[in-house]
Amino acid sequence: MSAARPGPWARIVARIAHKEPATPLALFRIAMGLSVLYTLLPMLRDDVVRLVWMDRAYGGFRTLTPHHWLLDAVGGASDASVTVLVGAAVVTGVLLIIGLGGRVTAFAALQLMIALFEINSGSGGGHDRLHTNGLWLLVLAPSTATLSLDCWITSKGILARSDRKDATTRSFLSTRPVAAWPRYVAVFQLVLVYGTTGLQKLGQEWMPWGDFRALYYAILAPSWQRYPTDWVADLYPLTQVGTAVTWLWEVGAPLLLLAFWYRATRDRPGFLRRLSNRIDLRSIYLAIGAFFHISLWLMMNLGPFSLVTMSFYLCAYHHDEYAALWARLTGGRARRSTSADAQPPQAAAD
Amino acid sequence: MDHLRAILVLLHVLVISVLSFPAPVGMMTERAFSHPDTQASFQSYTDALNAVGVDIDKDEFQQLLWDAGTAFISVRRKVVAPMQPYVALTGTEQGWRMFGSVNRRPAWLRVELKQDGAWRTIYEMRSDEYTWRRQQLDQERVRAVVNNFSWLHSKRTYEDFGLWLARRAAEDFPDATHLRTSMVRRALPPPDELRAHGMPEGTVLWETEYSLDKHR
Repeated sequence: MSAARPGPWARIVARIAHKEPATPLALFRIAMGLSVLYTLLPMLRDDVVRLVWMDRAYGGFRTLTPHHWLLDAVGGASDASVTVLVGAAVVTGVLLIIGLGGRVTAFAALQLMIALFEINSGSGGGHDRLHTNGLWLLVLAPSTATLSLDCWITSKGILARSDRKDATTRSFLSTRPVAAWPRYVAVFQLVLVYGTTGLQKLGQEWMPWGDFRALYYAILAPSWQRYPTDWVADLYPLTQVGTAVTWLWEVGAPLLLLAFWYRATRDRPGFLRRLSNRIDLRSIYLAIGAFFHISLWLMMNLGPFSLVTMSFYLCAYHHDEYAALWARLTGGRARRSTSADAQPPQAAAD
Repeated sequence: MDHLRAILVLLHVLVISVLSFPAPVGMMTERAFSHPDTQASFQSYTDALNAVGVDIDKDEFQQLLWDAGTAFISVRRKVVAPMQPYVALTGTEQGWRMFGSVNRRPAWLRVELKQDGAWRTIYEMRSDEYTWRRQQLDQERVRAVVNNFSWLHSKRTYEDFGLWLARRAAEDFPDATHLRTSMVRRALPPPDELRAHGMPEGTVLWETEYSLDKHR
């Protein structure tokens, strides 16, 4: 007699308790660290920190009265306090990249970036919110379990307690399983970003009766242009196709969740499930997204928007997929997750 | 422990889902509704509805949206209020409305300088010819500030920004007497017109003059 199938709540609890190697979260951490630096260093290079984040009394362009506990503690949008906050944020960006300080570093980076973004919200955009959302997930996720200095530092202690002969060897890598749910939430966040922005593209220029002119106008508008774009008139039909595809792709974001569901339940029947898994619908969706983001980055100066958004893409893949990719690239053997991951076979790559 | 973790994770998912749900936050104003691009969108939706047999005119459609939007915002405000402390501490604010409506009549920031009694342009958005402090003014965060002006929003901030430009010009051009900022609004032309005639000259708006003497 077979065991009774667990109920929905038990399955949700089990899924959230699921563990796996931290490689995707570590890559996400590194990408977020790079994005923090890509946000701040150009501002320092172009002498913009003073202009937008310091009060008029210190060389900024307007009177600023931000409210954040960290700014209150250091003295508001003054020359000294903003310099200290930006400097500290740059340091946390570096620490995220090298993986030192674990969740404490992520929390420090989060609070610093919230404080800085709070100073003059009119000088920011959606990428500010993506940064803080991503950093909060890194506070919740043990993302320095691998690909990190933390891993290198702690590995000796772990190895010394083991029976292995190479117990003195330190390593930056580990397949120690950690909570997988922050990775799932990162993917869900991505779906929210794309899905809800698509639903709010209600201007007539996104619609058939507006002649699908949105991309044409967006490329011509001066605010974000990277280069002169008069050439866009010659590519008008292409921009119309791009407008329609962008809108459909964004409102179709829940397909990404469906693709994950199909991967997690690949042992069940169904034509769509088989098709989705065979063509890897998840990767197709993300490849289209990457194409749009890279095109946007080439044509428009939207700061770190493309980088921070695509950082979330890294959470769409399991450790074993990264290990297999690494093995293909280097011709070596994949360092797959061990039995300690305690994951059912069908979930191994979800 | 597993159950508690699951509850907390699902609460987080609930918060970000509720806050992400499309809402016309900041858009339920007479100013936003009367913007020419918004009015054009209302007309296009009304035409589309009429084409499929729905008998409604633009004013009725606009009133319907206004009533539904204000009611929804009122309910939303009450729902999200208990979530705000968590959101403020954790930076999990949502709201993703990127390029929701495209500016079809954007305005270009122009900065002019008076030297030896004559005006000359020293900066214009995206110009390769007028490039004073370009690296600073073309940086992405400054673009975000100026983008508001491009929609002809935030005039007071625009004047603050102009004052900052005047202070910098007083440093950079010791013999100049005045600085003038303006927003040059152009209706983006359709492709055939753009190919034939290029960008139109545009209409000069928000022209503001600053004496540089008081900044030296």
